[in-house]
Amino acid sequence: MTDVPPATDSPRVGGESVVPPRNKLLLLEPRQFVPPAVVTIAVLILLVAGGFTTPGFLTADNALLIIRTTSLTGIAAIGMTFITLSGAFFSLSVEQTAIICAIVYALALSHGFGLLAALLVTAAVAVLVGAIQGGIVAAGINPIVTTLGAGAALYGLASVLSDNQLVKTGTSSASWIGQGKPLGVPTQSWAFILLWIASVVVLKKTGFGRRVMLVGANPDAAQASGISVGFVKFSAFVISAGAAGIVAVFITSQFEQASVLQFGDINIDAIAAVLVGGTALQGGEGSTTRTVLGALFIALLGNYMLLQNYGYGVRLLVTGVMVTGATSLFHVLRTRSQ
Amino acid sequence: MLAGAVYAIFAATDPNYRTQGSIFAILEGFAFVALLGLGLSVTIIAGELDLSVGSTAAVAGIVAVYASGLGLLPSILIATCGAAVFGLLQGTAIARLQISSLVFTLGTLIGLRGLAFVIAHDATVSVSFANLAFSDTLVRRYWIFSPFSLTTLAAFLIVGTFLGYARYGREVYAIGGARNEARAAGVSVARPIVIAFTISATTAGLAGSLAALKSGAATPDAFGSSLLDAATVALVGGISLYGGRGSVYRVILGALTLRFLIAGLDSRGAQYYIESLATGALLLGVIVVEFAVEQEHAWKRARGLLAIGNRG
Repeated sequence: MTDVPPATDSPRVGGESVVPPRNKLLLLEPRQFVPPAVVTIAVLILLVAGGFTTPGFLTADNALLIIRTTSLTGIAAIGMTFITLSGAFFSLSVEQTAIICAIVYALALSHGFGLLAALLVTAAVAVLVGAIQGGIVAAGINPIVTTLGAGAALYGLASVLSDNQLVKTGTSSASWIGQGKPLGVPTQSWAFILLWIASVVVLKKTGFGRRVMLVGANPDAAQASGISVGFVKFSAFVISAGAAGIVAVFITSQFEQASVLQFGDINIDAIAAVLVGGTALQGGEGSTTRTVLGALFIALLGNYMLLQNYGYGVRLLVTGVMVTGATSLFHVLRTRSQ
Repeated sequence: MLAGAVYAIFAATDPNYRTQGSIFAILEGFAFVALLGLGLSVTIIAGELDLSVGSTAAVAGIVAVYASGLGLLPSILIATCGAAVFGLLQGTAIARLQISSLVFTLGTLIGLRGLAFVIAHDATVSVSFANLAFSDTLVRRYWIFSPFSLTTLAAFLIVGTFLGYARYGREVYAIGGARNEARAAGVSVARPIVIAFTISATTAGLAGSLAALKSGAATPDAFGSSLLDAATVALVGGISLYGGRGSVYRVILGALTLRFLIAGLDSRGAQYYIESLATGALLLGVIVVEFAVEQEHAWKRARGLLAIGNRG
């Protein structure tokens, strides 16, 4: 199989060579530092402003809370990033995927399955859910509408499975997953950091990762060079479903129960993290590092507003303005520099 | 066609389903989702997608309830015009920035929902007792119709005529089906986008305010699943996701199909979450079938061309 020319942020002809010399590859394309720089600066501003104006913001306890919140949203957001990078926009069904994984996991545990067996069953469900949606999108159908419908169906299915009741795991054998703190860092955060590193390696160093970027940046070129655009998008959906499943396992293990009423904001927060972090909606530009920064920013902002006693409505409003504002800004910056 | 089939299935198996009263109830439920679906389908025809219709309706409902002291018609007008202005701004922003409507309306979906909570102070807002007479006006029954459903049908007529016959309306179809070609032909791309999003916000505002005034209260978390319903209604009604095709009148059929399905499930005693399952399954089913049919047609066309080539 021919080696695919590694994707750059924008494989444009006209003035620059399409395939830059290998040694310049990962280094200095100044434009690609803008979004992460913006978000990093925003995070720093928030930290400073918050530290000065809000008692309790810069405490260790609060930091732990922020890290925990960021980690779970961040895991889901990393999965979402794969979908966005591959050009499939985003998935509106992460919340419901997490719900059904949580229910299945809790049901398995409560029926006496061993921990490993329960995890395997949950993984299988996550992969199946992702595969079905991925398959539909791979065939060429609009991902937004697909995940919108799939999400509703999954929610109904999860309600049927759980009989719309709270499902208790009935065992504490899994609680270490949710409540453990190896070396003082919560398990969720370990997972978040490991998944972040893994995703960066996959996207930058593996053939699959580069195919994801190319499919998002220029699907026609990708198709022409023999890459299956459909398979790449399919894989992205499976990855995202897997991430949702991981989040589900963590939460269910931590609280030893699952219900269909959970994960209400995870969809919005994950998408917001991806977009505010600066990954382009059309695909082909961005990284999971940007998403991690975005997730951090969103979590910090939410925490700050919580400490300032702003209600749920204000936090939603600000998140919405952030998403619209950040994406408009990045879009303008992107199109202006061409 | 599908609507007829669904209706037949349910009518045949449940005697309660067929009465005039139940048809009225179905049409009542139909009115809201059909109106939302109408607006959404205009943006789909234009090759875009307005994700914020549900949140717009929620805000409009709250505004209408707040303004209810001014009278039925004024409060509806205020809420709907507010929504129209919002749609105008949103459409202009999307057109000017040339940004994907997906990401922009995602932001407004979130932001408007937040706004709804803010202006409602996180609580349910009720029409004051003195003004509750509104509800009566809105639910008055004319045979199987009500002012709400009649307003909906009127809206369909207006939008349908506009899209079908006005030049600005035809432009919406043009930029949806073949945007580059339209641009090359000199069609303004900005204007139909602005128009499409103004329509979608206006219908959402109208639907939200009517629904809120009818029930006498508005909650900030209302209509959370309405985007799903509106999308299902539009797609079942034959609006093509590829843009540029579909008649808004068929959206009426789409809405009827969905309502028949839901009402049928309800009358069988199904839990509310079954609605979610059914709507989602219906949506998935429709888009897969539409896609398969598309492929079939493309196949046939390709074979037809090949046949011509071989003959010559």
